[in-house]
Amino acid sequence: MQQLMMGNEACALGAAAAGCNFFAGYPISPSSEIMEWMSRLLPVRGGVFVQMEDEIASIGAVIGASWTGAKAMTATSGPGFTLMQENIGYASMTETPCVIIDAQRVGPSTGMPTMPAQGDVIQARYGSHGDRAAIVLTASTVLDTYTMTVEAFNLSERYRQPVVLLLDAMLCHMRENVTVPDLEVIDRARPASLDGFEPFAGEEFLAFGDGARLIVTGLTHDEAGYQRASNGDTGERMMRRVLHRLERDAEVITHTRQESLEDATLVLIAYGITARAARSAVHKLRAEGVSAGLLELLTLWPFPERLIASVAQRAQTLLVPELNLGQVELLVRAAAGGTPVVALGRMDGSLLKPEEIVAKAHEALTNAEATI
Amino acid sequence: MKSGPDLRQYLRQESMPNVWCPGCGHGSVMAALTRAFDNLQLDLDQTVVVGGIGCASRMPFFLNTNGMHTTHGRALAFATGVKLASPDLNVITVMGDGDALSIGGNHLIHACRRNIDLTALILNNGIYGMTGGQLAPTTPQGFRSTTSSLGSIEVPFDAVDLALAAGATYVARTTTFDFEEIPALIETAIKHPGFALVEILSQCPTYFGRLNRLGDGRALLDYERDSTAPQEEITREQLVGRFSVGVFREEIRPEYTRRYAALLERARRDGNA
Amino acid sequence: MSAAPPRLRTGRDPEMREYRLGSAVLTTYRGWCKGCDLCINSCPASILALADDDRIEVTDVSRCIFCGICVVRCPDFVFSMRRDRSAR
Repeated sequence: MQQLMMGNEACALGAAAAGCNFFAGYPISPSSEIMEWMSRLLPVRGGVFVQMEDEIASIGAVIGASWTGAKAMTATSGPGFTLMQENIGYASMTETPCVIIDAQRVGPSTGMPTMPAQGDVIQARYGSHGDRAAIVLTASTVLDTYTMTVEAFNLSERYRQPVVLLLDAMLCHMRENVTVPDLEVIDRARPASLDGFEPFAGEEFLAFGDGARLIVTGLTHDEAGYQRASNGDTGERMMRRVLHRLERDAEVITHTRQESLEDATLVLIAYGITARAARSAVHKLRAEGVSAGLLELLTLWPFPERLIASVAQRAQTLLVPELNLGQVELLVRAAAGGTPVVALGRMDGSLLKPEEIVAKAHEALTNAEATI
Repeated sequence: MKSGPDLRQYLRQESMPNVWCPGCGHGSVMAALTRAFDNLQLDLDQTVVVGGIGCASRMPFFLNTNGMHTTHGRALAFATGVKLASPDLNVITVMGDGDALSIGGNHLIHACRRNIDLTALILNNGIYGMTGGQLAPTTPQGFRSTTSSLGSIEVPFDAVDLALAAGATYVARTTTFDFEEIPALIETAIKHPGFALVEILSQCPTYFGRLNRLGDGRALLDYERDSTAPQEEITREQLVGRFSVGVFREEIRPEYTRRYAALLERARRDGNA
Repeated sequence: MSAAPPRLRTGRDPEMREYRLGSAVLTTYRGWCKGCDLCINSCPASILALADDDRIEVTDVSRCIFCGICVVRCPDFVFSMRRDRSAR
């Protein structure tokens, strides 16, 4: 059954469908409607909604709730996302499943609160100090916002990690017709038995009061949760094993949409709202006889380097259009192994149009021919 | 004979001795807390002690309960999430004065305002101990620290006044000198159906005592004795430079998780999604 | 009570000692003592002292009045007292 739905609404409905039963948040454009929806959706489902005193408290409450077994989420935008970084790092260190929605707006600082941008990509991965695991997803349609919110919960439950879903002001506030799909919902694994159970050995999760007395600390700790703050190899071992899991399951975590890549000499690598214009650009270029292709990334972190490298081998030129000054372009360049990478960045709050991407493509191709 | 329970049963003995310096009061506060556990026969499986960062906040590592060692100043935010998601858990936060009143001040006043059923212990040693003796928002004016070597010009908070103004419904203050009184105050705080704050002046010989030439643990206990007076027997004017101790408020007002439960009822009945 | 991990994680051997006077038993975990002398100052019978390893020692249990001040004053759970009914 089709429904006309706003991005923020789809996000909230996706969270409810994923079994989210705890939301703590703080108002900030352009994400506030997510919180408004959650304040209505959760009580009728017996879930907990609370508006906290700031973003730091919001992510703190989410983590606390998750340790009672709740599926917990918060939603914010750039400035709030920046405030949350320390506790997001804590969630990663303590292997706490939770979901953080970042409805990106033009930065830096207060910037343009109602205008779309994609400038939080690097922060979503490296915003919290130290080397940690990170799973970051994004979306380019209102339907995506629903499905990728469910996926964010599923990945956070499966890997016991905070998962960030990057949206943007345009996607959050635009409406599209959506047929809500029936999606698989994953819950965190519970230990089969308590003998010899260690809360930070595997991915099985035990909540407070469920039969063992847990210690949860942001200090470097061992498998049992005991702090090991001056024990280097424990810290490295504990974090590397999480990084290894994401590496091992890269295929499961990496979501992309690929179009006419087989014979593409020019490949557009796009994500989020910009992927829509990039798709139109590919169609226009194809119509003009240019063998163009699209690789749309729905998973930004772990960044799919191998996929980018293989696409780069077959292509002549990679073009990365994005609403920032080259954050994914930086990553593509690192993975492209010498294949020319052209950036088309924008940070003025307007969207990149298909014609602008087509023009840049032609410019890139003529430059490429000039150098052969 | 003063027989009593062996309080070690409430500890993670495999982690002892605790991390606090010789003569620090925090160990005595933990002893009082375990005595309260014993008197209340608290179900430790259903108890979560949440600390922030700092000397006091290390307490969860030594208690045989569930423990959360969170981020600096944020214990009450984490604890709010735990309590809201699982109201049947006994949730106790243990914070230092810097943890609760400096970086954590915003969360403290909101936890008081919400009147959520949490017990907040603020172990006030008048200084930042873990990081090496810096000035705290509770360091008395004129006192020395590693960041106020010429005497602090700051006017310190009164945590009790702050909590009363923000709406906490149980507020008490005591000291590690008054050791025998602490368990009863903590028990009342844990049983109190609302936000219960107990501030405990707890001596820091390593920094507060040493930098201010007030001597070791034992001498600081005397200093606590002489710088406090029962609040019933002293007027605000006479109090200058000293702390009043005792119970400042014990009121029953609608508690946050019960108000939320009522909201769930209304939502189920009216169904406003 | 669920079993806490048995292995000694970060702690030190408690070095438990028992001092008996009739059926009264004073137990010390001197391994946890830090030599802060809060108990020494408080003991009315003055029977507590630091051994050469700077950890507590009961010098003469026969003068102990089992008042429990050491139990109260110690921040490190070194002291505990109980009656051993079986002892004569």
